[in-house]
Amino acid sequence: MNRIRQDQLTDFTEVYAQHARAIHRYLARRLGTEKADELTADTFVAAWKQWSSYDADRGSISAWLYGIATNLMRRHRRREDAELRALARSMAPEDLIDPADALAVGIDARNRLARVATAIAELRHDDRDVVLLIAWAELSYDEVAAALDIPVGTVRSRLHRARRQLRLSELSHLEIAE
Amino acid sequence: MITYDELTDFRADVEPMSEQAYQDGLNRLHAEIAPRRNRRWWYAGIAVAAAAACLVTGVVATSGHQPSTSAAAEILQDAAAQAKLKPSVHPKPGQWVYLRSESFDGGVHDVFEEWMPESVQSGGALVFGTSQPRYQMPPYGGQYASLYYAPYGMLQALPTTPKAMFAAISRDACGQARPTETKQLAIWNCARTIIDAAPPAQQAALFGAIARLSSVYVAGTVTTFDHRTGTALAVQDPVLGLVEMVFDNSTHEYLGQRVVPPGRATVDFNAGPVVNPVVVDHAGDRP
Repeated sequence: MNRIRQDQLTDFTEVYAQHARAIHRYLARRLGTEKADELTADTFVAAWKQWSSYDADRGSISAWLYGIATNLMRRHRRREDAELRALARSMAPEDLIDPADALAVGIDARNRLARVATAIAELRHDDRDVVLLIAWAELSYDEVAAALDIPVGTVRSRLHRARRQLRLSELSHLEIAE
Repeated sequence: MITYDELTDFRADVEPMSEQAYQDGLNRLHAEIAPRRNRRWWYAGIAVAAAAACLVTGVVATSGHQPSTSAAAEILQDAAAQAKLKPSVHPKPGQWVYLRSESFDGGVHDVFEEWMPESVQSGGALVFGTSQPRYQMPPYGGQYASLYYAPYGMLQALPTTPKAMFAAISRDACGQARPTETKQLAIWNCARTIIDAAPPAQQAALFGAIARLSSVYVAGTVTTFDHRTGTALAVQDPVLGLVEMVFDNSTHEYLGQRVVPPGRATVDFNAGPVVNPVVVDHAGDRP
């Protein structure tokens, strides 16, 4: 008997089992849980259809899935922008009407959320994808390059631009690798 | 200025994926994957027909419609006799039946392999194609309690007479009958879904059962993806188009299936027959 090589025996439902929740979390952080429900399913259906094009030498399955999810998100960018700006507005201290809100959430915390939401919203979309794939999906530069099908140099340049715009106080985490 | 921690913490408290969303996504994936099984592909045809965008390079040489149920029935009776001549396999509990066939799916020549469990205790069938990853079907039972998911032992237990088989597949419809499907179309689609995996006696009964359908007609002479010439029997499906079973011109031996989408003159899917099923001990074993 010849057994199929183990590396060919990738059960796609196992791929779903291993990665669906992480992909959903990434999407939910960007678009909310309702849209994430829909796009997570879309991501895996699209991945199934593109399976023959997956190249393990170019990156992990995880990175590949994040790339598909990010591509699918593109038609929802306006929604993401709108939600970030709405969040920033709602968290701005001057909008606080009920003093109890300030006690419950904390003005500092609201301020922080508003600042981060505004900062992300103001990023160019392509730059935002790179930053959030690194910060939230914890992909390496090479993996981001594979996920978005762009050269690593482009990842670095987008990151450089985003870092300047975000004016991150701690640069080391998003430092451009030499 | 924001800190990196602020960036990584932003929306980190988002709600985790609900079990309902997880299961819904898995079900969508199953629905996408399952139709691409060689003997279970008619829903793939729906997607293709809807999109009408699939690259097709197959050759069709249909020589006109000749509605003739008596001619169709004669071919199917011969096909049933041919099916009975095939060797049977008899897997034991825990064993699997290895099925191999070739297909032409949306312009891609594919080799399909499937391992069917003898019984439901071994789990669902395992499917493996050259252009797709392994897929484990859900085991028969619960929402998957239809012939679509039946283990080999269950197919072996199906009736061996055309009349009883007709009743069996009328009841089951492979669990996939579409709301717009006529009863005849549902039976035709169910029969051709399981016919490649069916043991010889049941395959013969399936040919006999569909010979009872008045909507089956001789569509003409066709050329299959592997350049065999045969006679196509067809039923017109409003969604899929012309769905055909192909039989050898002289012996009427079953040669496989094809789908020609509505308004098109090319084939979207063309599957050859399963050749010599073999019993193996494990899913993934090849003879």
